[in-house]
Amino acid sequence: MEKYQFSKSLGHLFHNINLTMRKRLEKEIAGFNLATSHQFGVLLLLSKKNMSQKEISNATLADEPSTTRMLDRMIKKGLIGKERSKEDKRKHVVYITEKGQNLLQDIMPIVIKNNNYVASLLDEEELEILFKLLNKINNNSSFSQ
Amino acid sequence: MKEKKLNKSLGNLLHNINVSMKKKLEQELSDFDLITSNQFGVLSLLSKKSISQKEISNATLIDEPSTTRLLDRMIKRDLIGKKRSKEDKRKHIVYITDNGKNLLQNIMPIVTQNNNYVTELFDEDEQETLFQLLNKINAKLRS
Repeated sequence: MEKYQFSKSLGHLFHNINLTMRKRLEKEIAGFNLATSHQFGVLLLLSKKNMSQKEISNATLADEPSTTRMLDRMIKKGLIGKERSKEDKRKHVVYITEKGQNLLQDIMPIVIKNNNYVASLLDEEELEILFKLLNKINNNSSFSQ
Repeated sequence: MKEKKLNKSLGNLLHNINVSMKKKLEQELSDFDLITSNQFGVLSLLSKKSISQKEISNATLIDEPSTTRLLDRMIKRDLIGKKRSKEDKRKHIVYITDNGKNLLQNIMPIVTQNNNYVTELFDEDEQETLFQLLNKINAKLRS
């Protein structure tokens, strides 16, 4: 059987880098009324458009029961709300509240700072090369979102 | 100005790729009844050593209540087990069962294939550069 080498695994590398970045971010946003980076992700998604719970679950890769619990916690905090869809009365859509928008605005500079930190680990030329390579993955049809 | 834009979106790009790769993996793993990429992650962690629930939660960044539920589901399927720690009787550690090890072995080729699919989007030189740059970020982030 072929030996599995983690050091040669792109999936493992991306996973590790993301995990470490999320840990850093979670530490820095710990003082805000937002428990996890997942909740930040949801606010960011909803700031672009209202979505159904199922769409949120698909976009964040959190399973549906976990998504329900997370959204309930965020509703209790007044960061998001749920309302009946105008197009289809049987469906609910989730939206971001003004309080959620304000919180997102407070947190964005920290997220940007965190992202800048990662970029600062490479010099300009390296960054440009990395970007070109990563976009090749991102633009591949199997991975486009 | 251009660099600023690059800086801003590197984290975003890395995040997007990670999510897309996980999605693709989950699609392919869906044949293996109920194995999510989180469950795969836990099996993979435990195959190296037995650890406490809190350590699993820290390593996966899944909050503790969700980790409990995840582990309970995996215990029910006999993929993992819990026992008292020999060093500290008050503590429990989680271990991988034979059943879990077998499943992990069946899954590994799919994980490898998923990784290879991405790697093969690049020629050899590009692969080397990509690994070098990502490893550099990874090493510096962890230092």
